[in-house]
Amino acid sequence: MDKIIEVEGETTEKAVALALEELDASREEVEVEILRENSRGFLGLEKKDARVRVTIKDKRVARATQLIEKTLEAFNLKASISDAEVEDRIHLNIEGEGLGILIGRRGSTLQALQLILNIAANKGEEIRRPVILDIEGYRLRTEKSLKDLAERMAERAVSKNKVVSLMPMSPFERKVIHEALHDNPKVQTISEGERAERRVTIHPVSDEQ
Amino acid sequence: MKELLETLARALVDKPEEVKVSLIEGEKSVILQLQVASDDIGKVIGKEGRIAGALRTIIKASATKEGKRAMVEILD
Repeated sequence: MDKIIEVEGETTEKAVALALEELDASREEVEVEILRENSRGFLGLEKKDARVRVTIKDKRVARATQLIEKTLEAFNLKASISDAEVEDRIHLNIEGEGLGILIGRRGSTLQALQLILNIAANKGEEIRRPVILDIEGYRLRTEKSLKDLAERMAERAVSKNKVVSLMPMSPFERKVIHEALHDNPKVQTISEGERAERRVTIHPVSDEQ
Repeated sequence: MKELLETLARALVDKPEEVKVSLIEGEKSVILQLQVASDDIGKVIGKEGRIAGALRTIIKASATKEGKRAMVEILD
């Protein structure tokens, strides 16, 4: 989705109108930066069109950011929040000190916050955009090492043609494993066991199936 | 802790003005009772209690910071 465009027009108002048409947005939904005012020039010489940069503000980002700010306040934490939009996903990252309490044991609190943010941010919106929350890069680091583990264990399951059982993991960790191997046609992943013992098992899929 | 639960619950429901949290405080533990409009109960519980679970996780973390144990009850 294009959310920033630069448009030229005879006047700044005309340029903004063109941009809104192109973005299919209303004036309230965007931020306008005037890059250049139009100038009439002299006797038609050096006549310049206005140029504006128009950015769509996503209400979901604003809602999620506000909720994080209030949460930080309740925990008496000072931190900065940055956002980035990648395709339809909204990435929010919190950086600061003493944020371990918001990550929780094996990411449990981080995951809980993400769930709440997803619902709160998308409330009343027709199109749901996933919100991905990270704190101090915890998710990124954990996902990377879990994905590596998933790949290695899938290879083992295939080469030995045996079910490989991973160690017990939190729901967040299991989800990463399932997703990492979702597109791998050679294996199938299933969670087994109860509560603290719940773990992912990787099953080789034979070619005949 | 109370304000946090109120804030989070209000962000989830359709009738934020009907969100109410009452506290029952013990020495080392605290019970938070969350009340929402009857149409909104599903919104704070979620499928298989996922949202309620997430709220509990966050409130417990906040209680830990205050050196307490917290329980969240959803009243219907």
